[in-house]
Amino acid sequence: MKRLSLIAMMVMLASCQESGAPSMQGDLAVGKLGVPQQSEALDAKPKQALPEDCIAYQPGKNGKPDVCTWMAKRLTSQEKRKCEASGGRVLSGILDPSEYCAIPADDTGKSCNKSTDCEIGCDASEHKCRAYSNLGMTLDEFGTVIETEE
Amino acid sequence: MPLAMNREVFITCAVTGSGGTQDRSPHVPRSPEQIAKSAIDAAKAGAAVVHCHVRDPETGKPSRDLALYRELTERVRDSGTDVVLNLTAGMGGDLLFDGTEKMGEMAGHSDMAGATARVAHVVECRPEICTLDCGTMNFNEADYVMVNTPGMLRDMAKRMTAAGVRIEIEAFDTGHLWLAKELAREGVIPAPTLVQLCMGVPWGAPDDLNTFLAMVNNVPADWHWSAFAIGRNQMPYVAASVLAGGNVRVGLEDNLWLDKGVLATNAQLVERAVTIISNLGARVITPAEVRAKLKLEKRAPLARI
Repeated sequence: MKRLSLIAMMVMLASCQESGAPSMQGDLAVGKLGVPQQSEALDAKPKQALPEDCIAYQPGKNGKPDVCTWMAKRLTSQEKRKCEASGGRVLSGILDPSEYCAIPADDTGKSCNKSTDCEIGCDASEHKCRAYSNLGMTLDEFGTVIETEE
Repeated sequence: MPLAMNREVFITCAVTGSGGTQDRSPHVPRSPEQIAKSAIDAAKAGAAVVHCHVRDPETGKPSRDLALYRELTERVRDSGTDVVLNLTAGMGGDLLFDGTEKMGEMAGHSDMAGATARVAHVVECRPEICTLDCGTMNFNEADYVMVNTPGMLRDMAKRMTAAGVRIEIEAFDTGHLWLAKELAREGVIPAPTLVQLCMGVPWGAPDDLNTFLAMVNNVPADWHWSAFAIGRNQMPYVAASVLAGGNVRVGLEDNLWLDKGVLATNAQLVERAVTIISNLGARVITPAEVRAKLKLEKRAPLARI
């Protein structure tokens, strides 16, 4: 009788998971192979607004506010002038929006037909070597257009 | 649930590693020139990503020398062959002890470095990817601990991301994945997130299929992942990983042998992986496609002013 109860419980649990209904343990995220995961929602947002330049935070515990642990850096006016005087350009990072001084690649503007013609990448529309980054539409090593989004 | 194999697979070649293998095979590259050549040969064989350590050119011993990393990076970038560069940041967390009594002091052959030193080469060389070993574990030998505390990982991850480099989480066990998910939730590891499941490395997760699938099932659905096993299970894991929906890693860092009694080159290991992947009905994708998939930014090394 005990074995039948156990089997019945397993069948009930399996059918709950197949139907997508919450399991007895609450709502579970579904992993790569369709098996429910024992993890919290990964898209949890901070409980209160953090500074605009905040990149990362640690959730507050026991009702305490969230704490910003990483702020984007901004260059001073003097640093920006120095960058431009050196032939560079002030850019913001993609992964980290902090400002930094970017120096163009040596082959900037050179004609190209594929990625391996250039240090950074070959611009797909202008067929010229990129100065700073491969993001956007470039040509791959076979000369085919490929887009790398930010 | 039907089979959800990966049909567009990228291969990472782990070119040389940091194990004591330099004297066990003449194909394990030592100098930046040798490592770059082996990496480029692997790229020509089909590897879209090359994961590189550096070694002392004379002794072959593992190194963290910034100049070696810089030379390696410039040789790879100037080679005329396109490949995604992935540099290790795993060095500098090696804690060893002399026996089991002197536990209050590190053995002289430990290598423990601060966050600045551990990522200096990443900041300067600006590879598209660098690795972050997301945990501490007993590592193979009797009194060796690989040390990566949560505080250190947060600090290193921020520096890597500030340098514009995508992080490849290396997870040797389920707890490493748990911490990695927390770091991703905090925003310390930005999306799209990439994880390498490192299977069968003593004494992390063993490489049986049940444990492997437990690891796979704990990777969030929107992450990209790859996996490898070491030694004689390196090639079986190419198949296992593709069938489970992931990407693959092969290379001399993880295995020296092509066949019984036959030492391998990196290019040969990559060729064999390409054959397996193609015979499973999947396609091996290019470096440009990997950059598009993972939103990788290719930039020149930091200018020396």
